[in-house]
Amino acid sequence: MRETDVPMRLRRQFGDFVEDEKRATLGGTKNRRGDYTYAELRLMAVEFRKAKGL
Amino acid sequence: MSATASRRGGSKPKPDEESLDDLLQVLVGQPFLGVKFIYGDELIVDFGPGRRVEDPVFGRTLEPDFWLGTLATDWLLLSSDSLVARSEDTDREETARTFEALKGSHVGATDVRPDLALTIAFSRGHKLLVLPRRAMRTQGLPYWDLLLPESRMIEAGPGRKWSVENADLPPKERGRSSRADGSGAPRPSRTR
Repeated sequence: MRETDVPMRLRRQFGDFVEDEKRATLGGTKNRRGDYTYAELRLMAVEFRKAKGL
Repeated sequence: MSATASRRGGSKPKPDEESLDDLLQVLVGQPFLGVKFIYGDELIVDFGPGRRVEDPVFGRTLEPDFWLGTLATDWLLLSSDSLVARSEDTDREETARTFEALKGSHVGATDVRPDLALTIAFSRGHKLLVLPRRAMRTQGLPYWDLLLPESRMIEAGPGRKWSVENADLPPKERGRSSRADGSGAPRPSRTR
């Protein structure tokens, strides 16, 4: 999660954001469980910041 | 126990500089608010009465006053010195239910060892232990962090180093500001 460079104050919420995304979609491409690659997590961090208005 | 872990950025503490033990005293008396597991199976422990905030993504949410992030570090939960949960447990829902027993209790004491192993003792006999392993030193990542009021945070590890950082800064910028000369950390203030 640190690789996404999300500030600590937002990490807790970003964790929820990722979990919500995973439940709402097929998840990531890292493995068959739908985990996310670091590249995917970094993209999600960009989306998260936009959604937060940052 | 008094911690002899060293503050990042300098080996000689200033006479008026607070120790990590001192800083952790802000947790004493804070109510346990809850736990959650976030992506990567990191255990987050929330403290304080919390406050309701309106968030553009999540709507109305309860934000804790303090929260502890265990990152990738092993942890144990003891009840009267018996093990009741640990980081290796795979059923996160069941583990979260185990933590429900802490509801209604508050932090009674904190203790940090020189290797930055952290113990939080709760008023009803539970203890949370966060236990960095020696192998983690070589990975160059922190062991745990604690969000404080006013967007401050304690970052502990790797090794025996810790620092107070600005929790609004991304990790890469924090690294540049505090590890280069030790002057990037904001001056901590006590908030009991």
